[in-house]
Amino acid sequence: MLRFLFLFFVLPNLGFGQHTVKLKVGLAPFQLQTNYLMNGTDSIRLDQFKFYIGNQRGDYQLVDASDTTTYNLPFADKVLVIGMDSLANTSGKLEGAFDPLLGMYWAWNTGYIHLKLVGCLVQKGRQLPFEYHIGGYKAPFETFVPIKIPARTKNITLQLERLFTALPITTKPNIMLPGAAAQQIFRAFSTAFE
Amino acid sequence: MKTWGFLFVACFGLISLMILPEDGLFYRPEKWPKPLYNFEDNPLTPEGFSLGRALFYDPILSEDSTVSCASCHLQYTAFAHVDHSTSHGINSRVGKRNAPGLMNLAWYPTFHWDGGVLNLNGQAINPLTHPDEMGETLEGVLKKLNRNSDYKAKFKKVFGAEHIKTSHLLKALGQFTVSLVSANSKYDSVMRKESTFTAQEQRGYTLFRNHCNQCHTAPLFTNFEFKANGIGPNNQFNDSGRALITGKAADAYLFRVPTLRNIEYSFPYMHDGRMSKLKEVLAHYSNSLSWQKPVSSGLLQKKNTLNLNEQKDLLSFLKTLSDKQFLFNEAFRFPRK
Repeated sequence: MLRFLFLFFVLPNLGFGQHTVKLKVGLAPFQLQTNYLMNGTDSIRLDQFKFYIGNQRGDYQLVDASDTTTYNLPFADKVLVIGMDSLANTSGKLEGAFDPLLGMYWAWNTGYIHLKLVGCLVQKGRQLPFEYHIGGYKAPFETFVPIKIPARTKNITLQLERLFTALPITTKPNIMLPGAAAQQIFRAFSTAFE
Repeated sequence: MKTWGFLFVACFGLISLMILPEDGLFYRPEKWPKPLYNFEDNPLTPEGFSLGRALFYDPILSEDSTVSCASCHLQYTAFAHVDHSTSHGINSRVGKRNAPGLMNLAWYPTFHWDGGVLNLNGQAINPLTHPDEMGETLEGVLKKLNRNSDYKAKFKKVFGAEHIKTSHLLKALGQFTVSLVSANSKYDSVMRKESTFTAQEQRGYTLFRNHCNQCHTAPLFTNFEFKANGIGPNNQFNDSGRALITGKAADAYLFRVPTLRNIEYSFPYMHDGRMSKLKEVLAHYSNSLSWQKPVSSGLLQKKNTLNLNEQKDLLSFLKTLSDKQFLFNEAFRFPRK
């Protein structure tokens, strides 16, 4: 009986096994320290790119572009979340994906950076550095969105071009606190999921 | 007669031993609220406590191995930083806030003068990594600890892990700091009906209940709220306090209501340590004409006006909150090897 239930309820939920994240810019695969042409003249380069992804049961993984093994997610749920729920932000579980050593922990104002982008915009030979620490779990500035993964989908593709074009690099090159500006970048990030 | 005296002393010694666990481990005093600390996540053991104690007193945690937690949190002053208005760290760099006393932390819903930190274990990252305090990185501390065979063995015994991780370091420190319970002052013994206030202390207690208890609520002697008490912003640092955490203009210059336990010993006073004597503090609260904006509404309504005799009575009550057993508890002292 138990095996029967497993076949009907657990297996479909697991889909076709655990997910893998694929990062793209246009048609090219994304890599750190690589210039991507944006609009014919400007190009963008990232030195750090990290974000939290999880499921609705409170399991999280930090996807870090400097370590592609983190692209393989340890869960296979049909609904994932990006960002982090308020409980995970505040529970004080400081190990695994929540280890402050991963460079995503705000120690003085308890909480986690949900999305970190550090890089440069190259514009007419000039380099404009930028740094975005995007997070927030308190209303109205939460950066936490569920993402529905279509059935039979194993690879989760992110089209980063959509995120890059939305970055306010020339007007706001540094955003380090929760707020409307951070939320706007996070919204652009959530549209990158294909 | 001598025998009776001896028996009395012996009994008294036995009773005080029963009240205070000899190993210094956390206990919940009678009639106190349920602690908020997550003990399930970090079960206390004598070994964990003594590891946390060793770390608390070890300058290995700072960048140049000169400053320990105890440099700014001294036991005899209720783990506050006496004689420094704001605390200083490595290379004599000066911070902008007064290191608060450490006691009864298991009941704290938030930490720091601005309440930005929500967990005792995670709190330690702040002084460890702040450039004006210990100036280290987590990577740096863990590397030093993992190279130290003595610490490696102790961590293995407590957490069963070969490699010391962030959570092990923070949980070990938490085992010590959460155990710093102060609940054996004269006030406590009066509440337990084991002793009585003097007439002056009793008058002070009545004044306290009428004028102070709303914010400095027993048994923890703080309601953990954030208030502006009329001392005005600090001109040197312009520290906006609670607003730094909430981003709300209404929270500008609000700071946590501190506990009054061991207040006699934890000078200087206020978030920036601008007052060095309790008398000054009482004079400030007693004279609403001297208050600078902002002032929280609850305090404004009180319009405290205490004359000098009343201030003296109040002071004598506040001294009944001193807990010598806590201040001189050997289990909390620098661990001699």
